[in-house]
Amino acid sequence: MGDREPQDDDQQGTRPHAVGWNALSYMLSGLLLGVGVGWLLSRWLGTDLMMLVGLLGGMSLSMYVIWVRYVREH
Amino acid sequence: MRLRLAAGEGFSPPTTEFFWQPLVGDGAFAFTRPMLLMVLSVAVIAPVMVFVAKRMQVVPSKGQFLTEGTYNFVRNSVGKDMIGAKEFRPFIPLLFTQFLLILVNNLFEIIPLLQFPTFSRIGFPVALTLVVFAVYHVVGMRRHGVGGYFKRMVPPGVPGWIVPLIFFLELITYFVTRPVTLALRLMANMFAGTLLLVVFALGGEYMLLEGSNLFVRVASLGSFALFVIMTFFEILVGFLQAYVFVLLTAFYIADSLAEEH
Amino acid sequence: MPNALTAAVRAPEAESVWTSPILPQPGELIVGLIAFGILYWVIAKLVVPRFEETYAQRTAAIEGGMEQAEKAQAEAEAALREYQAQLAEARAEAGRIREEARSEGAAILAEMREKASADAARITEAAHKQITAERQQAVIQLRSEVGRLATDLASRIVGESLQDDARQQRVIERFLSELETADPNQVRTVATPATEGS
Repeated sequence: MGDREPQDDDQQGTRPHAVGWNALSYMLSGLLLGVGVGWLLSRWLGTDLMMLVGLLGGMSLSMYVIWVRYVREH
Repeated sequence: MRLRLAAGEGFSPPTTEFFWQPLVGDGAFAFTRPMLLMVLSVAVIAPVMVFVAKRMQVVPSKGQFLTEGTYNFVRNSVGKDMIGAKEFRPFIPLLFTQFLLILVNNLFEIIPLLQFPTFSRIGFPVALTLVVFAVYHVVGMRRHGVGGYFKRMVPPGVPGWIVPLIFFLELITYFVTRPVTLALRLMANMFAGTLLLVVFALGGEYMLLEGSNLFVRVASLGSFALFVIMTFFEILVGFLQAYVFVLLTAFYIADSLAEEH
Repeated sequence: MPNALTAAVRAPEAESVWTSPILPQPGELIVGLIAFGILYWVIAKLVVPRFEETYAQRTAAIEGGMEQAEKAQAEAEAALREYQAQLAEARAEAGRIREEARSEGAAILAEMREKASADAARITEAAHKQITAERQQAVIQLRSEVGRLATDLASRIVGESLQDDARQQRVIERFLSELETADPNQVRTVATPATEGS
């Protein structure tokens, strides 16, 4: 009785919303990671340019992961 | 109240201090206005839900229809859609409790006399987020083992050199950005909305009472009109934030349970 | 310890780290956790089971209704199938009858045609036979007539000389044998000069 669930027509109904919000989390993670690594490299190399490189790299990494997880597989 | 007091000496826009309203005591463990509201919300929700549950019928009455609609929305549109028909059942109480608690406390923002969104105080969103944080990590580690849980954070089919980077990215996402954004999104939305409501209310009041000429006093109507519009907007925001919170909770749980990304 | 009243009306300027919007006040955090815990317990123990029970009952009721509807549909489909089968059968039957009638008609036609042609052949043959017989008869009659005429004629010409029976008999015999070997046409040509000669 309990195992028989009427199937919804839109199985993916609310999922895109969650994926969208979650993508925001990934972008923030990429920002944090990129800026963090960039800051370390800047201190090591003595140039602030690494901050920008890290920021862009982190954002790119986030977008790559979002693509791998939610675009490539669907 | 204090607000009127503040308005008395020339208009000073409300600051974040508006949200710190201790009623009893002071400091880290002061009993505050949002605490009272939180207690009130549980004191309202619990008996009402138990009452509705006791009188449940297959053919619903009007009151039952409303609560059941809410329940079915959380159960099916959020829980089942996100976590999947096989595994969503144990998480229904969590999702439903979250939704009710957030929704009712958000609606407190626009209920006369109460007029304060509990979740604009970061302590409450953090409390709920801690629960969510614990649940999705524990569930994931139980399913995959601790090592397996971390191992599966990196999706398969990515070039080897990028794997450590992705691992760090996922680590930050799972342990920092997910909980932080979950708590901050709720808090910031309620905080900003309330601040705007207070600005329009106090601004209108100030213009009406202290306005230097008739024109300014009539213009206060515009401020009150914006207050009314914002009030309706805040109802929408209240629902939306409750929905987003349970939606993401379910999504994180589903993510932790999934065999593979 | 400040009393409740002064705390409630304290001026907003009062400095406190807890005015920070992103610093969780421990008291609020704890109250939040406890409030959530209590509500969760109530919802999980008393509310969700009842809701699920009703949900399952309703699902069962809906499924029961659906089963009924499915049954009705199946019945309707069966009836339709039966009707279609009957229709197809009737069509086949009609086709068969038509085919039968057509082949029967063809057979009848062929038979009648055959009979007609046989009749025609028979009638033609009968006519042929009759004609032949008539001609034969005519020939025979003609032959005896010619013989008699010739004899008469000859006896008139020859007179008494042919009274002699034996001689007469011989003449007739010879004449007849000549006729025998000749065509009916020649008979006529032979006979004609004989009649002309009289």
